Amino acid sequence: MSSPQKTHITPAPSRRHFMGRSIAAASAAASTLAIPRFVRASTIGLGGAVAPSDRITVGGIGIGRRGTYDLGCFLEQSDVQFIAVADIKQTQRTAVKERVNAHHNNTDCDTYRDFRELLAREDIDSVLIATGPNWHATAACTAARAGKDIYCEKPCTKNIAQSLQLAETMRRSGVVFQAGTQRRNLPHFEFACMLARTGRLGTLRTVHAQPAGMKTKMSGWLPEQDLPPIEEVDWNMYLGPAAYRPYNKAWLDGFNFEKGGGLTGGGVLEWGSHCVDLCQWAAGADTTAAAVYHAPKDKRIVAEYPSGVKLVIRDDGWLPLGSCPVRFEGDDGWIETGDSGKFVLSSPELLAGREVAEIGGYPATFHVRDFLDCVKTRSQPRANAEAACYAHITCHAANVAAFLGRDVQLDTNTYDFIDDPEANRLRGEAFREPWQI
Amino acid sequence: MTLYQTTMPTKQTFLLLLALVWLVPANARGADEIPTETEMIATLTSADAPPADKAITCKQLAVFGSADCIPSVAALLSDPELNSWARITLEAIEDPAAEAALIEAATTLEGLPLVGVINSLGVKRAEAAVDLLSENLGSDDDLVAQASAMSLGKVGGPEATAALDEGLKESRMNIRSAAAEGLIRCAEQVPSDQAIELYDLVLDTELPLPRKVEATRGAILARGKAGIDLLVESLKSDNQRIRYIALTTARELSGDGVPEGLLAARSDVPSSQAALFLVALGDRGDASMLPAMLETIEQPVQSDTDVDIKTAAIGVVQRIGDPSCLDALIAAATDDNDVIAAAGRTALQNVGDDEMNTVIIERAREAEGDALETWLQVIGARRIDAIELLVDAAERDDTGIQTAALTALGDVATLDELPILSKRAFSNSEDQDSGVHATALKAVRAACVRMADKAACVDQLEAAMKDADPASQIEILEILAAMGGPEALLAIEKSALGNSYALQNAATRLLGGWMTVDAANVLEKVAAKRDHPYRIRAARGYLRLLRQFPMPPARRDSMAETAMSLSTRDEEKRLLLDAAGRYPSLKMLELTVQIGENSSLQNEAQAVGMAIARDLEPSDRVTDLLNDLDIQEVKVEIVRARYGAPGEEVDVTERLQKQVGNLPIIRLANPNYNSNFGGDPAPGKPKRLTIEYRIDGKKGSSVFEENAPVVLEIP
Repeated sequence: MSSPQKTHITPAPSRRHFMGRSIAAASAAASTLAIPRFVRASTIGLGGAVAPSDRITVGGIGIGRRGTYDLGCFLEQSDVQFIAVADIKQTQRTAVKERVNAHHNNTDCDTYRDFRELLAREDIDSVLIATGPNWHATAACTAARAGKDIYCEKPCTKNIAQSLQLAETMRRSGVVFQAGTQRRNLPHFEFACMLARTGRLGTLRTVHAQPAGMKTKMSGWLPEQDLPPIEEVDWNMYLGPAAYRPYNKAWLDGFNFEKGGGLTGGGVLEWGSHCVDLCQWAAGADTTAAAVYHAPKDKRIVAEYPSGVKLVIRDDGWLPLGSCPVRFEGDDGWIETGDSGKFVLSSPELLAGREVAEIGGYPATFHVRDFLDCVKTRSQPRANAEAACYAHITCHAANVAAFLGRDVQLDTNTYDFIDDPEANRLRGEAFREPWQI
Repeated sequence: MTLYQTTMPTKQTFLLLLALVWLVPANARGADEIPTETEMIATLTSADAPPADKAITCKQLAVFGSADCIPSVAALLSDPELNSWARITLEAIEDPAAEAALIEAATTLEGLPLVGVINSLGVKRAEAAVDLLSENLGSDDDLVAQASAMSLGKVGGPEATAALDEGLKESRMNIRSAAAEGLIRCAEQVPSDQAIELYDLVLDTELPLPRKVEATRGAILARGKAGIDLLVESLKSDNQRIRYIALTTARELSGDGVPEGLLAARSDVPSSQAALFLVALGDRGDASMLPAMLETIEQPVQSDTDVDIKTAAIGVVQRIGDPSCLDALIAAATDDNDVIAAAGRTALQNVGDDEMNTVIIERAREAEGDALETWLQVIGARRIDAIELLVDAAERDDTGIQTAALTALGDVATLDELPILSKRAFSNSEDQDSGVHATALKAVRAACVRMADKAACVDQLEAAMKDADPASQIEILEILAAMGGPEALLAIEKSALGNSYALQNAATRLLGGWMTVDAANVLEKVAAKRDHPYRIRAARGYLRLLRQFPMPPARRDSMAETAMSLSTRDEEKRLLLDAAGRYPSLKMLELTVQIGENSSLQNEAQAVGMAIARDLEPSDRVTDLLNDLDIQEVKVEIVRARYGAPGEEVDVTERLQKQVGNLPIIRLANPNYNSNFGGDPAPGKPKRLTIEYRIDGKKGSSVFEENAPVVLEIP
C-alpha cells in the first residue's frame, strides 16, 4: 500500500471571512427552521487561535460524474484541502488529481485504486463518497470504522437492513455523516418544510413526493467481455458488495448498477431519497419511516405515517416548479415547490412577510458547508445518518409494495414487515465476500 | 408470460429473463409467471445450466423459495462465482436448515467462500455457530479471522464475548481491532455494568484509534452521570478524534443528574473546548441549563476565547430561553463586538414563544436609540402585533429607527396601516431618504401579500395607482402579481388591456409568469387583440398554462383549441405541438393534423401525431387522422449522441440507440433526460442533447434543450 503520511497545510481562511460567513449562515437559518448555533473559526482550533490545522483534509472515493460536481462544491470552501482520490477507473483518478492539484496549486493529490488505502491515511479527516449506489452504504460504513467523517451521495443504501446498519454504524463510530440530499439546505425547500412542521398549514394531512418513474432497475449477469487491465478498471472493486458477475462494460455506468440491490432501485429510491426525504422532514418523521404502504394504484403509491400523515408518491399533476417537486397539504393551506427555487402557496398569507431566497438548480454548496461546519462542531448535519436511514427505509418499503403488488406494513420499532415473511425476504441482501457492514 | 416453462434457459436467454423478472410491474406479474420451486431447483442442480442462470435463480429463490431449495443452494457455496448468490438465498430464508447448511459449509470451505459464509452466519446471529466462529477467529487467514470476530460480535452472548476477549490478545493488530469491534457490539447487547467492563477492556488494549474512539463513547455512555469524568478527561486529550467523541457524548449522555453534572464539569473543560462544549450542551435542549448560560453571557469578554464562549452560550439561550433572558440578550444584541451583537439579535428573534412577545413590547416601549432599533427589528422578525409602537416609531426623526419600524410594519401591518406604507413607498418626494423609500416599498409588498382581505387590499393599491408616477405604477403591478388571486388578476387585466404601453408591457410580463390557470382568460383577451403590441407574449403565456399546469382533460382540450386560434406563427404552433404530445387526446390529434398542414411543421406534426396515436384507443377516426398526416416510416440510425453542458458532456449514443424506432421521434424511456441518460452530467447548468443521425441514409443533426421531446429533423 502506498500511503504517504503527508500533512497538507496551507494558510487558513481569514478569521474575519469565516466569522462573517458563520454568523450570516446562522441568521439565514434562524429565519426558518433551524435554530442556529454560533460558532466561529477560533472555536474550532486549540488555544483560541485559528490554527492552520483547521483546514479539513478530504479524500474522494468514486469521483465520477456526480462526484466531480460535489468535488467542486468542496473545493469552493476555503477551509478544505483535498488530498487524495480513490477510484476504480484510472481516467477518473487522473482527472480528479489534475483538477485538485490545479486548484491547490501543488502536486499533492494522491491516487488509489482501492479506497481502503485512502482510508488508512491518518491525515485524512473526511471523505466524499460519490461511487455508484452499489457501494454507498458499504463504503460509508467502512469509512466510519476508519474514523472518517462522511459526505455520501444518495441513494445511501440498497435496502432496509442496510439503512438501519448505516445509522447504527455512524452512531457507534461517532463520525459526522451527511447524506447527499442537498435540498435540505436550500431555502425554498426548508421554508416549505417549516410551514408544514410548525402548523402554519394547519394539521398536516398529506405530503407528496415525485418518484420520476416507478420502474425497477435490473440486476443480473451480462455476457462476459474481455477484462481490461486492472489499472484501467478494477472490476473486482467495482463489484464490491454486489454479487459476482463477469466483466461487461455495460454495467460500468455506476448510476444504476445494483441500485436498491437491483431489485427496488426505481425512481422511488432515486428521486425519493430527495423528495420522500423532504416529506419526512416536513412530516416531522426524521426518526421514523411510514408504516403502511399500499399497492401502486393509478400510478401512485400511498403510504401512511404513524402520525396519520399520508405520503403520496406520484408523477402526475405537479405544478411547473422544476424537478424534484414536493407538496405539503394541511387543513389550512398547502405549499408546493421544486428545483426552480420557486414555490406556490395556497395563500400568500403563509409567506407572512418573509423573503425566501430563490435558488434554482439545486446546488449542493450549502449542504457541503453544513457538513463541514458540523465536522468542526460535532453537531448533527441536516441530512444526518438517522434522517437518511428512515427516509431510505420509506423508499425501500414503498418499492417492496410495488414489487409485490400488494399492501405491506412495517413495524416501526423493528422495521420488519408485520406477519409478512415474503416482504421480509426483501428487507436485506447478502454482501459479496469479503464485504459486510 | 412464463419463465422456465418447458426448457432450461440458456445464457442467451438470460438477459431477457432479467428484464422480465425485474422490470415487469409487480401488479402485472401473476403467480404463474414465477417458475416452480421444483423447476428452480432443477436449474441449480443441472450440470448444463450456466452460472448466470443459477445466479438469477438464487435471487428468485430468495423471495419465493422454501426450505426445500436449501440443499441445492448450499451446494453452490463452494463455487467462487456463485457463493454470494447462494448466500442471498440462504440469508433470506429464515429456516434453521439454512443456518445449518451455512455451518456445515463452513467446515469444508476456505478462503473467500468461507469468509462469505462466516459473514452470513453473523447476519443470521447464529448462536450455534459460536464454536465454529471462535475457532476461525484464530485462523491464519486474516480475512477469515476478521470476519469471525465481526460475526461473533453480531451474535453476542457470553461465549462469543469470551472468544473475542481472547482475540484481544492476538499479536496481529488487524485481528485485535476486529475483535475489539466485535466486543463493542457485544457490549451494546448487555446491561451497562457488563458493558463498562468490555469498553474498559478495549480501552486498555493497544488498538487503532477508531476502536479507542468507539470504546470511549461506549465507556462514557454506559456509565451515565459517572461517565462525565471520562468525558472531561477526553476533552483534554491531545487527540482531536478523542475530543470529538467527547463532544458527541456530551449530546448523547443520559441518566439522572447528567445535566447538572455536565454544567458542573464546565470549569474542568479546557478553554480550547469550552465553546464547543457549550454548543454540545445547547444541542441537548435542556431548559434547566438556562441560569448557568445567562451567567456565562453576562461575563465580560477579554479574549477571543471569551467571545467564542459567550456567543455559544447565546446560542444555547436562544433554544431554551424564557423572559428572564431578555436583558442579557438585548445587551448582547447592542454589544460593540459585531459577532456578539449578531448572535444576540438572532437569538432575540428566535427565543421563546408567543408569551415572550408581550414582554418584548414592554421592553421596546421603554427603549431608545440602538436598543429601540434592535427591538423594532425583533418585533418585525417575530411578527409581533405592536402596531401603535411601530407607527409612532416610523415617524421618528431617525433613519435607522424609521427603517426598522417600516420593515416591521411590513411584517405586521393591517389594512388600516397600509396607507402609511403606501404613502412612503409610492411617494416621489425628494425629501424622503432613498433607503427609507426602498424599505417602504419592500414593506408594502410584504404587507399586501399576506392581507386576508385581498379585495380591499387591491382596492387600496388601485387607488394608489391613480396618483402614482409611472415607476410606482409598475411597482404596484409587481405587488399585485406577488399577491396573486382573482382580484389582483382583474386589476392587472385593466393595465394589460389599457392604453399605457409601459403598463401593457409590465402587465403582460407578469401575466406570463402567473401561477394559476385563471390567467388564461386574460391572456386570451390580450392575444386576441390584433393591434396589441404584446399579443404574441400573451399567446405564449397562454400556451405555458396549457403545457405546464394541471387541469381536467376537457379543459385542456378546450384551451388547446383556443390556443390554435391564437397561434399565428410556427413558434407558437410548435409549443402547441409540444402540449399535444404531452397530453394525448383525440382533440390534440386533430389539432396536430391541422398544424401538419403547414409544410414547415409537417415532420414534427407527424412525429407528435404518431406518439399521440400510440396512447389512444385504436379507432377509425384515429386511423383517418394519421392518414391525413401522411406518415411514413423511416430508417433512423443514431451515429453519435452527447448530453450535458459545454465541457461537461457525456456520451449517450448507446443509450439512445436502444430507444430509437422507425420514426423521426424518439420516445425516451424516461422523459426526464437526467434519469434517462444515467444521471445529471452538469448539475445546476443548462444542458442540451446533441444528436448526429441518419434518416434513410441521409445525415442530419439536432440539438434539444433539456427534457424537450426528441423529434429529429428530416434531412
